[in-house]
Amino acid sequence: MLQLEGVCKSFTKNGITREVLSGIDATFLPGDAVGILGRNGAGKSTLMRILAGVEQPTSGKVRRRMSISWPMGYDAAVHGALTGADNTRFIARLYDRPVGWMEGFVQEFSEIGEEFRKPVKTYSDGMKARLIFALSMAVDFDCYLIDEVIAAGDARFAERCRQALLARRGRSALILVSHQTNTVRTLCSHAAILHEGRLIFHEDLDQAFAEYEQL
Amino acid sequence: MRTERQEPSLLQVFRARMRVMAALMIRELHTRFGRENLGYIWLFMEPALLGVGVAIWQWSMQGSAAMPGNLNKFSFFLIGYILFYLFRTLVSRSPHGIAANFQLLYHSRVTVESVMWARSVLDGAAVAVCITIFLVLIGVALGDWPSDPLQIMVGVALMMLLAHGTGLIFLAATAINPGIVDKIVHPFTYLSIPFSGMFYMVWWLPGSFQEIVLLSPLMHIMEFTREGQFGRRVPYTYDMTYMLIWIAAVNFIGLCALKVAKPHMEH
Repeated sequence: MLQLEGVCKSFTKNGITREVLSGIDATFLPGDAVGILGRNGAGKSTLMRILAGVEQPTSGKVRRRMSISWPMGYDAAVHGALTGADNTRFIARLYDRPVGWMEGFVQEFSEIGEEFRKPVKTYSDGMKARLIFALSMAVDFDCYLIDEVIAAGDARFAERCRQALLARRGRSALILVSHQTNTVRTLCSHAAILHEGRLIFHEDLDQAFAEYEQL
Repeated sequence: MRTERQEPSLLQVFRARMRVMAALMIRELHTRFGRENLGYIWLFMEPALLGVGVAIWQWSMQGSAAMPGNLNKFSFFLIGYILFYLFRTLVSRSPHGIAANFQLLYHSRVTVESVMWARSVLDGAAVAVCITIFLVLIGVALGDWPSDPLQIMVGVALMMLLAHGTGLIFLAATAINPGIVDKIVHPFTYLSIPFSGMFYMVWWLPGSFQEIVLLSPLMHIMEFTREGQFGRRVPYTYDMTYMLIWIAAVNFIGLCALKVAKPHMEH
């Protein structure tokens, strides 16, 4: 279970305080597949970082009772100066997975071949995305946080990601943020709209999309 | 199959924390020192070179004059410097300790506290090894072996804990007001040199000065460590309770300040 209770987040820059999230309540359970729709600047990535625990809310509570992935779609989960293999070993140790097994799995799943032994900063964006996704699959999280970026780029890999995520629907929770309705439709069972700092849930996808289009 | 998760026991939580710490320390070693070139050697060479430099400088300045209590100059200044180096390096790096490693926080198991702990323990261990190497070298070359090596290591641990707590306070303050902290940290570490006992001992000073320098917990830790080094040859002035109160206080204040500052940390 991942639960948000009255989560507010504001940023202060040059003495001006801007509230991005103003009181979010939500509960995500294993097996949920929720698409969070929001226009640019609605606070999607802020919400993502709070769910992941990268940032703390200004007020409110976040309870994590399941293992939560890093937000997929940013390359922050890996360190550029380290090789793919080093990053893999670090993550294996961190999440208590067998190091040798994980190296094999990630090298194969990510299809980056010998580049696995080179520093991540030499990778192309596509390779980096594949490495990060393979790492998250190897850790086997209870809850995956996914930014829409994953749907972009290499079409074949995007399709593999989609298949891998669909295969876990039911046992892992999936939280996808997007500003496009079609990504949400293929992966999610229900949707929520992030607008003016609040998150409104809809059981019915079509109803959510209709409402989202009107914003 | 997944079943509904039980609340983890205290032991499980502790073991999970230790695992995260170990992973962070190995990674910190990799990112800071690389796996090629001199690699890990630098971890020990950096404080050692600084220590040797200061020792040679002090030695040449003092010429043939004897030290009070006939203490070995080389080991006196070297160990003093390396011990203070631990304090200085932990405190002066603390304000940006997280900014430089913010990617780590993308892993929900990694907390700000665990990142800071990993760095402190790693630097503390590096300094302990560095001191050990020099104690052995001095012992072999000059025949001056430490009287109680364990007490020296306890001194290193106390210094690490004091610096860790102080660093947490600076880290929290940086999140709230980065401009001011940047200006304060370096003067703070330089100004603490005269109150660290790096170059002198309490009993060398007249009584009124003694009272002033003994307000500094650094002074107590330095005296305690030197007792482990030179034994009962000279008098030492320290108060273990005073040191522990300081350590507990800065760590407690640091953790509270960090709790307040966390919502202000942006990545």
